[in-house]
Amino acid sequence: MTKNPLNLRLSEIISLGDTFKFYRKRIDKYNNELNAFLQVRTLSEERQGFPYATKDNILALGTRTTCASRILGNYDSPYDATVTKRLNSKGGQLLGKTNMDEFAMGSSTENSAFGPSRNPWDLSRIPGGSSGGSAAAVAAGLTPFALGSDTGGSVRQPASMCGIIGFKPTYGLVSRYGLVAFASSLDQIGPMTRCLQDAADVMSMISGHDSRDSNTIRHALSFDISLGGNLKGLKFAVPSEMLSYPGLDEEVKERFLSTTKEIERSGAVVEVISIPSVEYAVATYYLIAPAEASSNLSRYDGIRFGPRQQSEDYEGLTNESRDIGFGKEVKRRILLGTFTLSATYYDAYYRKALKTRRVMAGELNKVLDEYDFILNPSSPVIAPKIGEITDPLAYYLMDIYTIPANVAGLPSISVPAGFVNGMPVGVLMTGKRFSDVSILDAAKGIEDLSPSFSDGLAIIPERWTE
Amino acid sequence: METKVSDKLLKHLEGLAKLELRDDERIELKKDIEEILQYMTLLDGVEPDAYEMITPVEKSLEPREDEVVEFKESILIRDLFPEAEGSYLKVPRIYKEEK
Repeated sequence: MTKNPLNLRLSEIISLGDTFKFYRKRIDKYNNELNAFLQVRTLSEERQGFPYATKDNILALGTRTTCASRILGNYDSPYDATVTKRLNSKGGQLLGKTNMDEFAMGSSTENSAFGPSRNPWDLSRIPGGSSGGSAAAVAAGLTPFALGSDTGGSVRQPASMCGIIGFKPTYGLVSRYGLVAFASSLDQIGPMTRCLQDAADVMSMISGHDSRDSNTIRHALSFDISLGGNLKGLKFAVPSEMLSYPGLDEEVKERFLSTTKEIERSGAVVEVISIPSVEYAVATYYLIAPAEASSNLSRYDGIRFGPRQQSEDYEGLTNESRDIGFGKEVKRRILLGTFTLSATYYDAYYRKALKTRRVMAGELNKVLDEYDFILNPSSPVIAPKIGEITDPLAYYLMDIYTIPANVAGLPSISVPAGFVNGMPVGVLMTGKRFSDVSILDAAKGIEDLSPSFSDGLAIIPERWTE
Repeated sequence: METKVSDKLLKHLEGLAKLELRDDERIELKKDIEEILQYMTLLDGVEPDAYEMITPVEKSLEPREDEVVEFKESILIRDLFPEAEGSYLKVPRIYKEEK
């Protein structure tokens, strides 16, 4: 191999055709430090095609799908997810499955039953989450791209903390068949890549209607395009509530404002506007998502798969299997969801959250009738140190910028936009439903002016380039 | 909004959620859930004049044809059974002895 794949875009890697071994060896060399992969496929047979990785909640025949949970610790995938099948049909070769917060519940990978992943920019810090293993793997050049799942920011927040692209497509554009369900009205699979063109190329392979996911729409979008990156004439709205959020770190805010100035210099209009309901985003989300999760996770009962605790009767077996199988955060959310769905509290909590969701979606769509995109930081802070945050609510509040897109089913992307204290930060663009191609094109404009890229690819920290 | 979770309520929720928490877990999770519910009081002043939004999909989706499709990997699903007899899934009894 004469070219170094770390310097190539996905289309060039695809044309090389023999890079599986190159990435697989890098995983052997570096994964002990990063804990990005939970399992990798063998090198024994020759694998031609382009390598990729998926989060460990996406099924792939021949692999385990653990969701980073003890309760699925021995679960061998009985079929391929639609995204896996589609990538493989285009010549994809799965490198392995990446670490995550258990059942995608978390923002740091600290909730993985197999230990946290580490941020390639500073090993003492989290990579973000829940798709933190995928983000760390792409950022350290252990795979050309990875798939993650995004329920409240789980693709975009870790992408931002690791300095790569993270794209959550419009709800219904990518099939979730074979994605282990967390909160079904919010879940969406998305690509994590080192440049915008790669994200478009992955979308061209994985998006589209699937009869096995009744939420996928028949609205065909073509991602088979060369992105232009023209920002001139575009109108961006920055919600004042996002800028005045008390948890927003001053230096992250400064970096974000500096990026908005550069966007303006490229000929776009950036205006601060108000979207009052986004203040309720976290409360709304953490009422809806745990409610859906408590229902989705009822299937893990030790009966048909997973470790089974022996007990004299069904009730004891189920309760003990679940108690031993689930981690603390998962139990917390199941209990919270059970509380809000219980007859006494349903109206006051769950129903109110669904109504607030409608109001928030309405306000976001109204702004997007006037502006092309909504712009805000991807995360209010840089990646915290592992173990630094122990209060669950503190982590929940960090999702404030990414949640609105899931609540309304909108496409949203995090683009690396420089560094704060040596750690990557991102800007988040959110657009109208089905504006996915336009959002990728405009995000390419931000990529072109961002200091986070070199020769059109997100910079890999020097430590991992040997 | 209610923000206190009594021991009795927590025990009830455990039953509904099919969990059997240890005492130390119970204390910690009760405290966390009360803190989270306290934050949810942010919605106390909100009385949205809207109907519930349960999905972002606005258009009604076309149902697919009902057709029988052979699932070729059924053996792989049977291989996941924690206990089996032949090709049957072995399950525990669902009744309890009268005491």
